[in-house]
Order: sequence, then C-alpha cells, then structure tokens
Amino acid sequence: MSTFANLTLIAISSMLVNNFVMAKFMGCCPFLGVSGKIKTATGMGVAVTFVMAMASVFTWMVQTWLLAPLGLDYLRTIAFILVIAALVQFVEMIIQKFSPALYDSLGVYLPLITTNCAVLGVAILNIENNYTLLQSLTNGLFGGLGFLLAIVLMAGIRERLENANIPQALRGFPITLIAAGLMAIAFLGFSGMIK
Amino acid sequence: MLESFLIPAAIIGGLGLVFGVLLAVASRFFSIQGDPRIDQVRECLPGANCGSCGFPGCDGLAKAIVESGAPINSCTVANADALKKIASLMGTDAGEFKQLVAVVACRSNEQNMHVKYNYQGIEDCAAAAAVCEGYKACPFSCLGFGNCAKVCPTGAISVRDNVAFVDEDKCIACGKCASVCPRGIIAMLPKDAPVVIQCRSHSRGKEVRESCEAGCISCGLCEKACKFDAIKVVNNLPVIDYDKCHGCMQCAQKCPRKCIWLDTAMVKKAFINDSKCVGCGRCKTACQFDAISGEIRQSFSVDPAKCVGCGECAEKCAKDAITLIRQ
Repeated sequence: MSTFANLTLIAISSMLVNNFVMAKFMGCCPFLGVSGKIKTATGMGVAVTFVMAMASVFTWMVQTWLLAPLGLDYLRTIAFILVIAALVQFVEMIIQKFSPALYDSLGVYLPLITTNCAVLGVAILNIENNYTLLQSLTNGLFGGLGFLLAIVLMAGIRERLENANIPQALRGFPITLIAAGLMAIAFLGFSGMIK
Repeated sequence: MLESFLIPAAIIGGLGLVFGVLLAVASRFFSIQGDPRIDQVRECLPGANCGSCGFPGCDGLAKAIVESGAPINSCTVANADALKKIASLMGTDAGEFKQLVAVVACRSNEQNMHVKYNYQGIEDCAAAAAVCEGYKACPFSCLGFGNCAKVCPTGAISVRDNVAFVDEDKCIACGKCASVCPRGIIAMLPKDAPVVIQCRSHSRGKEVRESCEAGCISCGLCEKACKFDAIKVVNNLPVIDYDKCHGCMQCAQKCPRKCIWLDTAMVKKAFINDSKCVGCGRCKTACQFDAISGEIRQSFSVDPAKCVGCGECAEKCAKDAITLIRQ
C-alpha cells in the first residue's frame, strides 16, 4: 500500500469510523459541556484539534527518541500528560492573547483539555499502533477534526433543541444525552468503510 | 541499581524543566496587560463566589465592574464599606445600596397549621410537595423539611416548629434558598424593611381560614390602612412597594390575622426641635395622622400617641427641625 493511501485510511478511520467521541467515547466532558452554541463549540473543536495534532507529534518524539531507547516505556502516561499539559498552557496563552471572547466562552473547559482523554488517547494509540511520525500526525489531526465534526454537529442539534417542545422531564441534560446516543448510532453507519 | 531510579527522575524532571522554561518565555511573549483595578476590585468583593450577582463568581463581577460598567451594588453580599471602596476605586458613586435578606413568608407552625394527612415519606420538601400538594392544608405553606437549610452556604436557615427560619445576621442574600424552595415562599427583601408580609397564599379568604390560623385572608384592611399607597392586594395577597413604604406600620396594626410582621426596632416617633422651628405649619399639613398641633408663627408639637413615625413631616420641614427618634 502506498504511503498516501495508508495515510488516507488512517485519516478516515480516526475521523469517522473510529471517531473519538462517537465510537471510542473519549472526550465526552467538553463534548457535552461546550456544545451549547456552535460558535464556542467550533472554538473548542479547533483548540482540541490543535492540541491533538501537536500532542501526537511531541509525544511521538518523546516516546521514540527518549523513552524507547532508555527502556522507560512505563513512564509513557506521566510523560505524555506532562507534554499535553504544557501544550494546553501554550494554547491557552495564544487564545487569551488573540481571541479573548473565545477564551471567555471556553471558560473552565480550556484547562480541562489537559485531562481530556481524547488527547492522551490519541497519543497512546499512536504508540500502540507503531505509527510513524507522519502517521501519528495524521491520526492526531484527523482525530481532532472528528471531534470538531462531532461537537459542531452536536451544538447544531442543541441549538435547535432550545426551541423544541420537549417533555418536562427530558429538558436540558437528559435530551442532550439522548441526542448524543443517537448521534453515536448514526456514526455506526461508517463502520463498514474500513475493514 | 541507582540508575533505574535516577534516569527516569532525571528524564521527567528534565522534560518538566524544558517545558517550564518554554512556557515562561511564551508567557512573556504573549503577556496581556490587564487592568490593575480588576484585582483591586476583586480584593474588595467577599470572595464567596455565590453567583447571586449573575456573573460567574467574584472574578467575573470584578471584571464586569471595571470593563463593562456593571452596577457596583450588583453584589448583595458585600457590606456598604466594601462597596464604597470599590466606588472610590472606580471613581463613581456607589449608588443606593440595599442589603437584602431572605425571608420565609409562612407562619404555619404547629399551632397555626391544619394538617391534611400524616406524611411519612422522604424528608425532603420537594418530595413532600409532590404528594397531594404537601401534608399541610395550605398549598403555599412551608413544609419544614429544610431544603433551603441544606443549600444555605452560611448555615443561616434552621427549621423551627415545622417552619424554616432565617437568621438575618448570617444571611448573605445569595438567593439559593429562594430558588430551591418548591413552594416559592422565600423572598429576597430589603434588610431594613419595616414591615414584611408573612404569607404567600394566593387562595381566597375562606380557603385560607380553613387551612391555616395565621394566613392572609386578603381582607384588604392593610391596603386601606396605608396612607402612602404602598400596599396593593394583588391576586388575593398584599404586595408592599418598599419604595413607597414609610414604615408607619399601620398595615401591621390593622391586620386582623397578624400576618404582617413589624420590626419593633424600627418604630419611630417624630420630635420637633423648638429652637429650630419657625412655625411655618408645613408639618401639620403634611401629617396624615393628625398628630401635630400648634399655631402658625409659633411652635408646633407632636402628639406621641398619634404619631406613627412615617417621617412625612420631617421631609417637608424646611428648617430641618424634625428628627425621628427610634423608640
């Protein structure tokens, strides 16, 4: 298989078929917490995408050039979290500087990317699948885009739910969870694309 | 042997150090000049992060005050001194500051209440309210399981004799109790309110008589007794407009059910200082209770038995000769 075909496969896989939120149920906290409005959801999605792509690259470097040669594989989790935390701090600074409105609307969820398991998940999956640097970057970037897709779709649904006539008991969070579940089922439709 | 400890520690420590330095450089590079007043205003706020101002915590309010000109008295918790300090920081006037306090408007204690049935379910107001509108006959009664006391961050609410009671000194007016009460009978009222209506029943008089000994029967005597147009009976319940209320307490005196609470500490009497009085007689015309007597161009005097302390005379006096003295 050519490199390009291989990368395309990884991209489609991590974005649609094995979507982090919809198929692996990673990153549910921001997915439910920041999906109230399309604008903030987009901001959050872009931030997560950026962090996931960068984290994939840096964690791959840390793993391949630092941990693996020294036989310190058991330090993977803590080292990766360190990398991710630093990255998130960096992203936070950039957003605060260039888009204070987005910074305000993301609120507490921005630092929460640090503990977002989608980010740590992509980093660890890259290593477990023995991906190359390019493959890791693709996996991270498209995994993030998959998250962006899911959260923006969810925000669109929730904006419409605002005006919908929902039974009293299901208003607010319950209907959101039901909508998320239905979206996950819909994403199952992609599962035949890749063997 | 030692390497197996040192190398991992050095690796992780080194990584941390590298990232720390990078972040420090980045923070210098991307630094933002914040308004220093935000921190100063934040210092003056109570820091309880109760959210009753409508902003996300005290930080949010401090930012809103400095950047978007939110009213300084948005904070219901801070005392007047702190607000004055913020006002001086912002170079504005603090505005009229009204400290609020939560009031449980119900007196259906064991003597007063009529019981519909013996409730033995979950000890929770919302659960009790869901069973046939509660075990007390009045659908607007306090159920006394203390959902309000559970959410109160300062422990100001206690349940006594089947009715919740708010300790005014501890209440910070965050309004959490009012939002959690399934009966909606907790109101946020001015702390210096001279009279408070202690009933929330919108039922008609006959129904109230049958369900409670202390409920408002919407007879309207308070509305008639008020000479300042401050009480209106709306939907079978009197509503006090505290902006118009002069604190004469005539409503509370006239209430046949004694369900208007009056602050005995606020009972006042007018007193005319003879040395300042020029005998213009404005006070006499202003008095709606016929408590002032005297002759024009001579001095006037107040009859303490008739004076209710509404303060109309003091407002009208051009020579500042009338003072209101608390009894």
